[in-house]
Amino acid sequence: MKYFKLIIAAVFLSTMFTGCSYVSDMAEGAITDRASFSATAVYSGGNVTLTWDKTDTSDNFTGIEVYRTSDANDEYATYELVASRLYNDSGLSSGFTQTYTDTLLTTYTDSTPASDGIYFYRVAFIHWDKDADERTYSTTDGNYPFYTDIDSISGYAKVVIP
Amino acid sequence: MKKILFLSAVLAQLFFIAPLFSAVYEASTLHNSVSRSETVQDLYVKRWKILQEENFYFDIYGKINWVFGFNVNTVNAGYLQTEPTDLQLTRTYGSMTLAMPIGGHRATPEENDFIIAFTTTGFHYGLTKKINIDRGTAGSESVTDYKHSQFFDDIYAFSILYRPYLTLHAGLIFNNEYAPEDNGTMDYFDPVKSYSKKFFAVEVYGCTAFSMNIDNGKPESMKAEIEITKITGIFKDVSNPYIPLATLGYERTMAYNDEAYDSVWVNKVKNPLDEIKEEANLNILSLKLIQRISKNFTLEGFYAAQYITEDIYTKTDEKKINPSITKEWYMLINIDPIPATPEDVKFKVYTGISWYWDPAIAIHRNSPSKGNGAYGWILGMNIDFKNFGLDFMTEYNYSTELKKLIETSDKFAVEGSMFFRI
Repeated sequence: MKYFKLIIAAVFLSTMFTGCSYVSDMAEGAITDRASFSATAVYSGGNVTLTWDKTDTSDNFTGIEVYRTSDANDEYATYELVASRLYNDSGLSSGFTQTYTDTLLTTYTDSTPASDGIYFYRVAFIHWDKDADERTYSTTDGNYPFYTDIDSISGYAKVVIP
Repeated sequence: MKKILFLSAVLAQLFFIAPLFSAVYEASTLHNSVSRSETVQDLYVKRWKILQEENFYFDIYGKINWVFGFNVNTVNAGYLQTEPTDLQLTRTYGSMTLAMPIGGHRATPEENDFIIAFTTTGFHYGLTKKINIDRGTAGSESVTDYKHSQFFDDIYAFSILYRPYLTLHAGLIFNNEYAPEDNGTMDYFDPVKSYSKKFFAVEVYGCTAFSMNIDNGKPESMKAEIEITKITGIFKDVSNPYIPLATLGYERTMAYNDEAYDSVWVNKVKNPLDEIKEEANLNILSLKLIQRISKNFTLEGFYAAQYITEDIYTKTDEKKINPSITKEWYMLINIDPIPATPEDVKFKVYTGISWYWDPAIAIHRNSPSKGNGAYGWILGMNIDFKNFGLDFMTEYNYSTELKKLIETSDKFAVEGSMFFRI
């Protein structure tokens, strides 16, 4: 009961200092996967290099996915997967169905970007929604496609491709 | 038979109004700061109306409301031009109260006790854009980006309760406005506008209530209520549950101020660059009746008449507006199929129809020619386990929701809320 009271006091104090409107907005943002961090994209020499400053060390962290808009010059076009990487306890494993680089945890280079137009990229941190003993890692998909969700996703990174 | 057909036609009209297209407007019209303060204050008072009857130490309450179909002129960073864009209005509300009874809680409502409490209440609203993410074999998900200004209004208030005689609330309202980044994210620590107001509310013996908010020493809005049946109960026995509960209300709001976000000019048509700003107060007199009609059915009726202190003129076609005498009416039926036993579980389904008048409705509705009066409906349910409860609701143009934000005219909304109390 003592710890219960402490938890309530901590929740109350943190809400008091941050404001209820901000806490309730953060809760809504978690439900709707609100864009929560920034990424940048730079075009040079036929490649697009993406960087971001978010990291994730939680137990449920599965990997990172990178998306690009399917159509040129449309901020609101559907984003399509261009890269992803599984992450497991033994470190980064190559595999899944895309081409990876070992530095995907902090940066990604798209060597085959679309051409002619403005494109938008986003970076997502993926989490397992399965318990650890039910997760399978393999050089192919394993159960990754069925039991993972976007935990957090960046705002768009805009790039002009000549 | 004709009456039934007519009634069916009216109900069908109310329930199946499907927007063929949405009005396109500028996001700047979502900036009414006076109604924002009033809304957060009303939510605070409404929550406390429930809490002041309960013996509790801690209460947390949250509500999320989504309104669909906002067609707002928005820049597409790809086309590099402004275009009508289908956005969603997201509103979230949270409230947290810590209560400390001095000498313990009362055992029955007839006894008295003394409680001090502190509450933080907050209301956020803003437009968001939902974008699809195709994860390949992992399926599709979506992301939402902030678009246009985001508003965060919070109340920090102290309360003193000497139940059942007196309840006092006093606190500060903080209004913050943020401009999101172009990429859809937002920095909570960098508001573009920020200001505060004072807030005060008092309730005497559950019969009369008065609340007010003050901006720069000037009352911005005030509201008073008298519960006629409860006052009668001081002199006469009104314990019969079939006696109607009547509440008389009066409110006065600085509703029209010649601000850029107002839909009307006060006294005469002005140039938007004019520095002369005039004010028109909105006075509302209302009557609410709650009548239990059987063990499981309660009817609730509300009527409000209005008087605007000055002439008002539309900004769109610069014509003088003849305000309707009726500001609002609604009729609500509550069905509580679970009898009062066990007392710890209350379940209620409710539905109702309404009408609401506001000079800004024509601007925000699908077809401006429909005018400034809007019919609406609501359908919802709630369950209350005493320490935990849920509420789900959907509505279209329902008057109490239009009052919170007139920009939701002719748009569907869904809402979910929950509370936890110990």
